Amino acid sequence: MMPKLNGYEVCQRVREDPEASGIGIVLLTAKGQEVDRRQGLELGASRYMTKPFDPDEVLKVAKELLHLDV
Amino acid sequence: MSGKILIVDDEVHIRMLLEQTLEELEEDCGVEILSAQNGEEGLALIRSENRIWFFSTS
Repeated sequence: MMPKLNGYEVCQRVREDPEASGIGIVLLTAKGQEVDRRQGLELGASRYMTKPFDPDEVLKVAKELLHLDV
Repeated sequence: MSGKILIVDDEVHIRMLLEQTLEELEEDCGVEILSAQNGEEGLALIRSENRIWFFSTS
């Protein structure tokens, strides 16, 4: 856990900044319940993933968000 | 433009695992990978950089 500012809060702050609108955000979290996922996406996360993470899935998402054709 | 990835996590081993996972994008696609160890540091980096995409953990 982030002691001061958690991932949801960082996500929210980035989305409040109009200059940062093009940034893709992946929340990678231990909170796997549907309500958590919904909250993350409502706060503007581009993707919501749970720990432990699958490296292949992480790479796939990274390529998608960076528009990389690999 | 290849883009940048910012990894934000307070656990060093999670940051390392994500860096290892994503480093092939650095090698193959010229993606720049940055890390921050907390939300404040991450936000400061985002404000000083353009076109960052980031991981954040809670």
